[in-house]
Amino acid sequence: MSVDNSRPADHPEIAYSNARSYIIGFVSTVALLGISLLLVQTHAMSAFNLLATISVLAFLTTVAKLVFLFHLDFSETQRWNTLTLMLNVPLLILSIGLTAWMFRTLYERVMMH
Amino acid sequence: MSSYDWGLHDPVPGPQTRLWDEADHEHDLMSTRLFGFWLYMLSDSLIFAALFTAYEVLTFPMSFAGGPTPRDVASPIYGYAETIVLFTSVLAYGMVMVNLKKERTRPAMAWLALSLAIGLGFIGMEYHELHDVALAGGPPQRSGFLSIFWAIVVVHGVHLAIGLLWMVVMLVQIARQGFTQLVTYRLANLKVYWLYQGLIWTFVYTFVYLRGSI
Repeated sequence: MSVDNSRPADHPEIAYSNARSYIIGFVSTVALLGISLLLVQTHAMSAFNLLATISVLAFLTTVAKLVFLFHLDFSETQRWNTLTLMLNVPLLILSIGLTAWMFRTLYERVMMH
Repeated sequence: MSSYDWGLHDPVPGPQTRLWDEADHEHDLMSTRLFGFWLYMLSDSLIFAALFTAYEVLTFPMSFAGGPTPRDVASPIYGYAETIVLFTSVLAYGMVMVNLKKERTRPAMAWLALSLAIGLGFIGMEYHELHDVALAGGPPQRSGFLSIFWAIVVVHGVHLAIGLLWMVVMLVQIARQGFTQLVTYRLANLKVYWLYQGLIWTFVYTFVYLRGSI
C-alpha cells in the first residue's frame, strides 16, 4: 500500500473524488427514497409487500451510496475497505435478524394471547 | 506469471519468493489511518444494529403502553424533507473533496461551511420534530417504544453534532495549515464519517418513518 505521498491531494483515496459521481449518488438516493415515500403514502400494496418493497429500495439506496459516494470497488486502493464491509454484513444480519426472530416467537408464545 | 493479475504489492510466487523485507520501509500514513478509521466506522454500525434490533423488539403493540405509536411520532413527509436536507449536506461535502483534490483552498472552505450550515439545518429540523413529540405526550419515558424511538433519533443526532464540530475544527485547520498531509487525511476521514451518517439515515427513514405509517 505504499504510494508517493509527497503531494497529499494526489493520494489515490483523494484522487477518486469527482463531482459527477457525487451528483449521481445524490440524485439516485433521493429518487429511490422518494419512490418509497410515494408507495407508502398511496398505500399502493398490502402491508407485507410494502415493507418488502421499501426494504429492497433501502438496499438499493445503500448500494448506490456505497458505489457513488464511498467509491467502494475491488481496485487496489479500495479492496480492503470493500472486503471488511462484506465481512461486517453477516454480523449485522445475525445480530438484528436472529434477535428479531427470537423475540417475535417469544412474544407469540408468552404474551400475545 | 507476469500475465497473472497480481496486486501491485502481493508477493510474486516462484523460487525467489521473499517472505519478509530485509530493511525497514515506510508506511503510507494516509492509507493506514483511512483504513483504521474505516474499521472504526464498521464497528459503529454495530451500535446502530443494536439500536435497530431494540426498535424491532419494542414496536409490538404492548410496547406502546397505550401511548403514541410510530404513526403518531414520525411523519414520512417531514422525514423526507429531512432526508433531502441531510443528503444535500453530504453532497456539499463531496464538493469539498473535489476541491481538495485540485488543492483549491477557498472553494473547499466555502463548500465545507455550506455543508456545516445545511447540517445545522438538519439538527434544527430534528430538534423541532422531537420538541413537538415531547409536547404531544411522547417523552422517552412514556413507553418502551418511545424510549427506543428517542434513542435512535438522538444517537444519530449526536453523531451529526460531533461531525459538525469536526467540520468547525477542519475549517480552522485548513485556514491555518492548508492542505498538509495531516489535514488531508482528516478531511478524508470526515468525508467517510459524514457519508456514513447519510447511510444510517436511509435506514432510520425507511424503518422508522416509512414503516411506521404502513
